[in-house]
Amino acid sequence: MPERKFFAHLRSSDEQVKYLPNPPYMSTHESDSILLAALSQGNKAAFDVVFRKYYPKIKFFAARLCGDKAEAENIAQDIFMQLWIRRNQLIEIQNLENYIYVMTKNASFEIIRRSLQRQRIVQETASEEPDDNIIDNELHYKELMAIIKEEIERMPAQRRRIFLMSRREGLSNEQIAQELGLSKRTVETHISLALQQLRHLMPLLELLTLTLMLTREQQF
Amino acid sequence: MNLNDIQELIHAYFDGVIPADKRQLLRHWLLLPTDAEKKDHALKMVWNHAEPDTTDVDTALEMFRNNRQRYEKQRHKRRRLAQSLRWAAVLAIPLLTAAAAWKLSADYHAQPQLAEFHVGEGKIDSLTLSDGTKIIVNSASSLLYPATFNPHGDRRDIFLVGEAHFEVAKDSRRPFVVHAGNLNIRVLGTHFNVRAYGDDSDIITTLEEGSVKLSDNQNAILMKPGEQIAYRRSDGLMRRKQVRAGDFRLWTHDNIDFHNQTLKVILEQMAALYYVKFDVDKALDLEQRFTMNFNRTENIDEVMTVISRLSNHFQYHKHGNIIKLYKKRKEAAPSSTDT
Repeated sequence: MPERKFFAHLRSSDEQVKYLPNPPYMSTHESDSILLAALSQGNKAAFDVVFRKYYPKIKFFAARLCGDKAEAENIAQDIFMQLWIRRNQLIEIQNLENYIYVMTKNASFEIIRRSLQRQRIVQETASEEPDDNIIDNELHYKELMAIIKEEIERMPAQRRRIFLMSRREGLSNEQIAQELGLSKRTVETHISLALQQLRHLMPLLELLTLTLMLTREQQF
Repeated sequence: MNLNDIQELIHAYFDGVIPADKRQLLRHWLLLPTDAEKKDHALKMVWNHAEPDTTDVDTALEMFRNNRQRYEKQRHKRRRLAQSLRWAAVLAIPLLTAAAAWKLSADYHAQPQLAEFHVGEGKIDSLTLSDGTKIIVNSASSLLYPATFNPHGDRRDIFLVGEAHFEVAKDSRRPFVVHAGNLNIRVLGTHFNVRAYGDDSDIITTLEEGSVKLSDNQNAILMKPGEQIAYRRSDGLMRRKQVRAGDFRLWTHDNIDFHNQTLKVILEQMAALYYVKFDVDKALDLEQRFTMNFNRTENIDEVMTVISRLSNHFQYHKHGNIIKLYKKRKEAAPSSTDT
């Protein structure tokens, strides 16, 4: 009896398609602009769709970037209010996602700037040497990254592989799952364990900072 | 600093691996103009691959709607310049250009109002559009469509997030276009299925009858009945497969009946319905026939348990979305007696 295998997903036994030689019927830009046109006319259903699509990402990104969940929610709400208030100008946009990303980044940076000003860090370092020194001397990023890299090497093989596919190669959880033939949940679990493992390093990393500071003082 | 180091540092920061006392310093570093392009590239990468959970979107959406309503009320009461300046402080958007002003003219005012049809988790619902097109919409899906299609227009456009089955009313003057992510699915009059859930890496289009043209920014292809195309969201790659198209609309039925059907066909249809793969032992007889009935709400484990008990020839093991079928050790000879 011949061997038989069934696949619902198109991984093996796929044909490569032959693309049509003529220019495409409709560009993404044109289809995006239909949605953007609806937004620009104040279409509330269109706003709902865009809100559901981007709110989680804005909130996640802003929260991690600012280090403040409450501020992140404010930023997200602000952005959609901005989109609503300026809806007539949305037709100008080429790429809605990129536009929203830039808004999120700028808003987050503004929050960070205010927080730094409150702590007067910006004023203190205004007369300091160029930026690289801040990183080398204060952040000790080389030592930091060395410890992190070492810990990644210590991870069990599958966990390390999945973590590197995600962080180094930039693959999505879904892509990793398909590549390795695992479920998405398994991939998420591995990444979660990897992060837990790395976060356990933090006391060590803080100790490192202290050590390096003391060493530097001793050099005087 | 090179891009790799910047990427590693930013990733470590977003992962919460940087010690607490260093985080403010790192945020300061992010704001510095040195290597701004590289930093932005790394940040964009984190943004692109973020897979946040969506648990509180509905609450937040409610809040947005309330804010918007309040804003509109105040605006209509009187001009509150101060208010809008406060909102405006968040960022700057370029002013209207002549081109945009033109676009705001007659043409765009002709655009119809879009309505939203949303189906919640675990449900299935259907709607009929103003042109007679019948759509069955699957769980956790949204459809954006105009209440009436412009009779003088040259197209019928709708937007889909999730999964739906379409029976499109024939109208050669106005092709029906489904927009799912970056993919445009253009049909004249036909029956097809589109699976475009937001967190799936592929958008899967299955054609039963008629003709369909798939296109995105770069490429276009024509589909024939019995074909299934997987469109990879990340890079627009399209892969074609020949299928029994009807299998991919099984989800629209409440019950699935098998009358004296071979195990081969049953597994093929279960694979289409549950989006799993079956890895079948060579020694298994796939021509054995079964009669059984499943309710759509049963999950794949319940289904596999029933089939394997009925069959008594195989055991199954599920790894994620791959199900392996092994021949049972015990001989299922008709003359053997079991205790």
